[in-house]
Amino acid sequence: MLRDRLKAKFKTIRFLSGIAIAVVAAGWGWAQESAPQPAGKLTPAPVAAEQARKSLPLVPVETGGSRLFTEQVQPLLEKHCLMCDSGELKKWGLDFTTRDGLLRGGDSGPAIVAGDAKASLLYRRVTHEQEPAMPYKLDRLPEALITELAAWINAGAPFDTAPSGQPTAAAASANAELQAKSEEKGLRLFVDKVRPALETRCLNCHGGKFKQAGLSLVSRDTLLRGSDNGPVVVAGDAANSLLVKKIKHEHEPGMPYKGLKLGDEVIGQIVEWINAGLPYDGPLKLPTAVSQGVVQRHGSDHWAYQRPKRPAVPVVKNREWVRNPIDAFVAVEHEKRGLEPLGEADPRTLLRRVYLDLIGLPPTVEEMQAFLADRSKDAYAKVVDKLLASPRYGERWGRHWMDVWRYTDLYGGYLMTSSQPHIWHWRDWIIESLNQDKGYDRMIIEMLAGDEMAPADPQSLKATGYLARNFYRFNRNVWLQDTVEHTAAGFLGITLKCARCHDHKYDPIAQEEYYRFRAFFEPYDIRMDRVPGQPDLSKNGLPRAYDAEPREVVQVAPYQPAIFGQTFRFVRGDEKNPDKEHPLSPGIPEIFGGDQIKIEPVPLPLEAYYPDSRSSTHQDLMAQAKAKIEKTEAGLAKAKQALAEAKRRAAVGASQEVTRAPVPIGAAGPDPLASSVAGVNFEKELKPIFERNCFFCHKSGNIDKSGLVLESPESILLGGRLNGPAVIPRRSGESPLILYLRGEKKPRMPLGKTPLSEEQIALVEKWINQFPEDPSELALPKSEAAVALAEKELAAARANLPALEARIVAEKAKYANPPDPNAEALAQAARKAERQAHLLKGEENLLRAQQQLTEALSSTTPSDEKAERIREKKAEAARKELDAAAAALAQAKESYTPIGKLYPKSSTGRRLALANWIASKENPLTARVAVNHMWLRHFGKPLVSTVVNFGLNGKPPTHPELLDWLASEFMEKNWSMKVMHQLMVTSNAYWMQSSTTDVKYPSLTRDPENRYLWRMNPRRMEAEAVRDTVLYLAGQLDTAMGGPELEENMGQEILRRSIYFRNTPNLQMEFLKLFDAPNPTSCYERNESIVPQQALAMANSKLSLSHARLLARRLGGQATPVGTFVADAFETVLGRPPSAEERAESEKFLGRQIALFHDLKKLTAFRVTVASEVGPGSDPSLRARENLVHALFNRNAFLTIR
Amino acid sequence: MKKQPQLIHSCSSCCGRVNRRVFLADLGMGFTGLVLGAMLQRDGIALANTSEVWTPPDGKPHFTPKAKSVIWIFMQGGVSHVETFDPKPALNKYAGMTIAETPYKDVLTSPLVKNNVQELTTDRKLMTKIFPMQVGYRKRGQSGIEISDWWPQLGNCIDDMALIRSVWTTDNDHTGQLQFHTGRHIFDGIFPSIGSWVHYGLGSLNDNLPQFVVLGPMVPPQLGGVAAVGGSYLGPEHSGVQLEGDPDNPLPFAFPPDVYKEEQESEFEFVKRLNQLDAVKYPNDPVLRARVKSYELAFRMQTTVPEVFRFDEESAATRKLYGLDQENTRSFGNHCLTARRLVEKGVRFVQVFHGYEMAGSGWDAHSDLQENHAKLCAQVDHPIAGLLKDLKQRGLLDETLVVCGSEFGRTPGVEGARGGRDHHPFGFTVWMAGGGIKGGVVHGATDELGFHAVEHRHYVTDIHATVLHQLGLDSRRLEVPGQKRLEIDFGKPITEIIV
Repeated sequence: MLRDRLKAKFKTIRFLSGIAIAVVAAGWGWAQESAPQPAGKLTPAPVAAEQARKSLPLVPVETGGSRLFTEQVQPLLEKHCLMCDSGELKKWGLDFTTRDGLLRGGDSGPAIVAGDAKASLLYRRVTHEQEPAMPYKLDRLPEALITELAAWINAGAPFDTAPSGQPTAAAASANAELQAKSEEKGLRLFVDKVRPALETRCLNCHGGKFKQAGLSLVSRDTLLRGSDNGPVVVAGDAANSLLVKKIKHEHEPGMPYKGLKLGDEVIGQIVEWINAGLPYDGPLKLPTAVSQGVVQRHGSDHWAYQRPKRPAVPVVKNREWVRNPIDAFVAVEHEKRGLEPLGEADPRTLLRRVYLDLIGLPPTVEEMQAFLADRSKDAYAKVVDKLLASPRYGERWGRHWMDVWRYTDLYGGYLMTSSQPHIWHWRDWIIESLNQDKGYDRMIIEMLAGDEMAPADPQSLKATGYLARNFYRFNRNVWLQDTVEHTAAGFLGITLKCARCHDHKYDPIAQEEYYRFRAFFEPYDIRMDRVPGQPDLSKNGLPRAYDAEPREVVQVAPYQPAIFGQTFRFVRGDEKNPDKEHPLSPGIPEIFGGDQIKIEPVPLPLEAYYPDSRSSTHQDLMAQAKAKIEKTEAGLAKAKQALAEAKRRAAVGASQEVTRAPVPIGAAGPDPLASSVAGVNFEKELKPIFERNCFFCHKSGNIDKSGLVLESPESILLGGRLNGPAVIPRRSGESPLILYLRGEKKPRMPLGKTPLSEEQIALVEKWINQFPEDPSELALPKSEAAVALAEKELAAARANLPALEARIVAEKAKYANPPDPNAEALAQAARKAERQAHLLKGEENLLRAQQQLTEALSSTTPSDEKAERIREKKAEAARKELDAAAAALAQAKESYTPIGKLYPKSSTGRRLALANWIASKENPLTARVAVNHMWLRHFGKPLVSTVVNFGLNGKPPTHPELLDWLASEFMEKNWSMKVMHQLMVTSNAYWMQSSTTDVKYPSLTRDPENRYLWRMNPRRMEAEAVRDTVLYLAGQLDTAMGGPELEENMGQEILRRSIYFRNTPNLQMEFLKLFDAPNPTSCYERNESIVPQQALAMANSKLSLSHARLLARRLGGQATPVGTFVADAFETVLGRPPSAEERAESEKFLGRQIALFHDLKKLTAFRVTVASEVGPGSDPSLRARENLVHALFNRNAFLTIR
Repeated sequence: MKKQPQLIHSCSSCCGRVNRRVFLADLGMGFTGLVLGAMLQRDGIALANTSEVWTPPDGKPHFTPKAKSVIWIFMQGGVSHVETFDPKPALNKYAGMTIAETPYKDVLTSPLVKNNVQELTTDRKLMTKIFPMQVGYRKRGQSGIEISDWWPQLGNCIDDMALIRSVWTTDNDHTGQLQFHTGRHIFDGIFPSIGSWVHYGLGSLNDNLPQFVVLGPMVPPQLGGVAAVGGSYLGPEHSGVQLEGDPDNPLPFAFPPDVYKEEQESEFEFVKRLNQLDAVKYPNDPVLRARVKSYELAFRMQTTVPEVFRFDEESAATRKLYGLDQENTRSFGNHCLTARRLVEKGVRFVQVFHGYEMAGSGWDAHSDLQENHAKLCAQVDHPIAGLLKDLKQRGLLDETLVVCGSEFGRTPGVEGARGGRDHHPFGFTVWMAGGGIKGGVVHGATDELGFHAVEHRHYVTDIHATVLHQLGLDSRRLEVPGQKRLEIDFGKPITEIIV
């Protein structure tokens, strides 16, 4: 029973240890606290424990220990602990009245660890080592009592089982003698029997290189401390020692792990030794012979850890079947297993297959005809070459690799931001690199260390989007965790993530090695560099990786994850518990060569560590400053014009103002803002739009930090805390509200929702533009103020240009090589010019703040409480602004401001070293993993079915030699993907039919799952291929490439390829999502579900309906003879002419539909009818034909690649 | 044992189960999922091989279930437990004092404060100045359970309800909505939601309707979005299907634009005919069969889904029962009635959200709690009570488990100058009714201030485990190879409230 409880408890702890971030541990948190401390922190206690052990003879459990209990411990527990009566204690899951209860413990884990006081929660609490100290809120127990308690626990915590009573002195002395004897015997046993057994059979994993589960058997102390999961032995009590159960194979997994069970005799000796109190004569040592065998035993002989050796291409009987070496390897398996491969697919099926496979689009009718007409031997090879040369290839395979590399556009927002703005540069790099057939090795290096490999090459920097993507706002550890996990999984096919909390259970990877792998990434951070032509980073920029200076942050605040200077192993994966005694250096797991990797710091050129020193940036900033001047000049002109108008109106006099009685904002009477004076009624027309689309974030008491409230005209005018007024009256074109709604400012609003329609936006614009003008007596001073402000703005803008120029010149001189002798003078000039500009800018700010304050204060009496609050807020904000502006003016600066940020002048070279190792031909995994991914996507099934786990627990390859041959070939051909594609799609294996009508076909019985590839695997088109193909066949696909991600909900309106639309874990195009679009969190292999919602999407979407109609019209509509139309439709959509039966069915169907359409009035409309972009044909015959094309889109044969 | 490829038509050896190999083949070969799996299995198409240990759910419960369906009501924004189901007179007694000045000052130093919560923002403070209850409370029903006066109608149902007053979570922000449904803090990532586990475990009761339906305003994207009803690694086919309460547009692509019914029906018939021709050509293609079936189901769904919303089938009395006759209760009443109609038609799991309708922040009463909660309680009191009464009078309550929760409770202390309470994940109330749950019981408790759950503490996965248990599922047996679940994920059924 106890065993079961302990088991349950261990299980709990083990499970807990896996929690990534130990949030959930609240009620369980203590369980972790009760963990043994790292050795270094133990100094006082072991001594105490040791003394306790020495001062009290180690006695057989049934006698001395229980006497100790009766005499000392029981009264102690009764007096000091049971005052919280057992009922109360039970509330916390504690029971102090039985030994089992103590061992089981409470919500926080076991109260005692028998045999180890130091690791016992009870002991730690009474010694006040752990909060809350016990007895709760009372004085600390007398030291003597604590010592007794420790001794009792160290003696195995026996309870009073024997009849109590004072043992006689004689008995005591007999005990002591017994004890001494037992100890001596135990020691002898250890030296003679136990030590050799432990050293040869256990130490490999528990104390040598590995400390599996954190357990080390090296010394008595480490053994008593147990594993990360709790104690494994109870001194003096073998029966209750987990270790014994393990070696007896009574507890899963039995020990030695996956090894031969120890002999019964040895087990008996270990039991005896434990019962004797487990005495050691000295630390265990790994025998040399065993030490050499360690790696061997741990699976270094595993196939995936050997470098692929290029196997000889086998000779097979079926020689004419072999088109290229791939086929020889496949045929060997056929022959071995008595499998008869199916014949070649017909040319039409093959062509459609290879088109969709290589470019994600089917062949056109013309391309099909040309292929069929081409009688030359290399007709197919020519097609393959053409497809691989098509830019569509990069888009098709780019999407595949984006699955593997976890591409995601920026997502989150308020709470969970991940990835980066403008990450599409990386997507475009992927597509371009594939189209250029850049070597896979080079691609890996650029993605992991482009900034170190070619720090000045913008192309390589784009590649580091791979690292920028993993950014996680809240927690640096999660960020690196993802980086490590997916770098290992995606490139190496190893489940390194398992070793985050413990030594890997299957593969020879120690927990420490996980953290050494992490250390490669420890210094990296993300920044946004300017791109030429766009100084505004919110509009464009390059998110990229670089190595940052460590910035230790004690408490990791949101938005600012710390970059740590050192890497530590997290005990049991718990980031709150780093093993600070042992900082770890970067290294790859020993199984792959360990420390051979060389790391050399990379000095960076100026433009890398000071990106804004580039002349392109200087030009852009200058242009920006000039544009600003022009804009302010125009603003001033406008303000002056308005002033003239106001003066004119004032001159005309009050008599003509009757119709425009001054109605102050918020005053009683008709509210000019809220009513429909402007032609647009806010309450009735605009508010419902905002309510539906914007109120989740922009409502009073909202959860959005911007503070913008769209509930009333006033609140909109007031604007938000972050961005100021949302509208500028009568100037819709400049109003931020409009800019955000149109997506001209990012992010487009409403965030994550369908954009407002153009009509809705136009309505808002109209409302803004028809804001009533201020009555003239207010208008005049306002206009005067506006002119004054515009003048200040212009002065500041004009001063900014020379200041900027001076700063640029000074910076150029400062970094000139050879040094510029004028640098100091230029710096002086820059400082001066900048100060001048600052002054003017300060004056501008001051004036603006003053005006705002005046306006806020001078507003007429507020009509209600709410308006008053808004006004107060506004006034307060203005006052703050004013203070800030004044303070800024008063401050003189020592030097001028550099143009941009400076970053470290060198990079650690860690990632480059790692990348070089991954991308090396010596690496046993990289090439294999890559060709397996390619094979999966060409053949529908991978060679290694566990695509991210090539380790010991993964599945072996179906064709190991083929995999190795492909891997070798891949590397030999300079990691050219196009070579591999070409090889795979021109093999006979690829050429086969995918099915047979013969249900008794022998191979069907022998290999029903087609593991050995006696036929091709039919597949469903991926989501993107479905959408792109529908557009393409209708002649509507826009093949423009690259650029910022498109709105995910505009997939029916924007006709570009699906790869360019936003795809994030929480924002996906609905149509694509239904067809299993990739989840960017992790998608190493696509799902292919079949759900009715897909049928609805194909049948009812505007996308499929509109494009079926367009295609029908492209095929000549009703003008074409029926037979030709049907044939053309089948040819176009399915890539083949109809069979006689299909033709007959089709013509029958057309007749049926035409009859239906003769009297539309008799037909039943769906409950909802909305118009699609392309309405149905009005001619019954045309409409019937549109139906036919639409039906073909909905047919299984369309979605299926045979 | 040699593998036999079998196109089994009446299979005695496979016992109607899809085994692991077939399941994995489904995944790898590309036609994932129980929708297909269950269809094939029912049709006797699945290949059999019985050598593996692990089996995916076969649509049968692990043990005799007490409930068939679940209606899971979720209040967005954080319902104040002390003003709803866990009244605390001590708040009135110590109103205006800081917690440190009361005899309960220990609650602030309890390790639970620190350990319980993982903060998203650093600017959140504990609200310590005690805010009196903003509403009265009284004993209700035979059981005499005390609840607030904001439940005039629901109070009449108290003898059918079990209140769990000791629920806690770890997220102090509204992303707790994700945690409430997946059992994991958003920091941990995205995991299958409770509804998707049920769907995965039990599959379909009615092939004409989606089996996991979501009604009401969805969790906003920035708080986890559809992941709160998502299938995560179980696969998208187990995700909740959101039905808009609008019968004109109940689900994505529900109706075709400018197409007539007869036109579509005839076209579907034609598609089916063409697919049948293919079936002759590809006799071994289960995907083709599944595709044909999916079209049939889709076609039926176009009718069945809008039928769900055909409220004119309900009597005036029933409509009144749900508050459809009043402006204030109509919207949520519609969802409740829809939920009943769905479970009646054999839908497993219906999730109803309330709070983030049109205007925003739901129950998140950082200020003006009295105004906010009085208003929102009035929106849901009548419809929920109506739902319980209606289920009961139709004999459905026994087999329908109703659960009602919120991402957290609200602080005993006041926030701001205008009478609000802040977020409070340390202890709050979830209630259940029907489906084999005891009525008129209170389980667990918070301390005198309503601060910490102190008696029978339950993390939210205990609620999940209880739901699964009532449906006859053992959460520990719902696993997917390669997806590690933690102890905390499984939860434990709250046996004390089970009949």
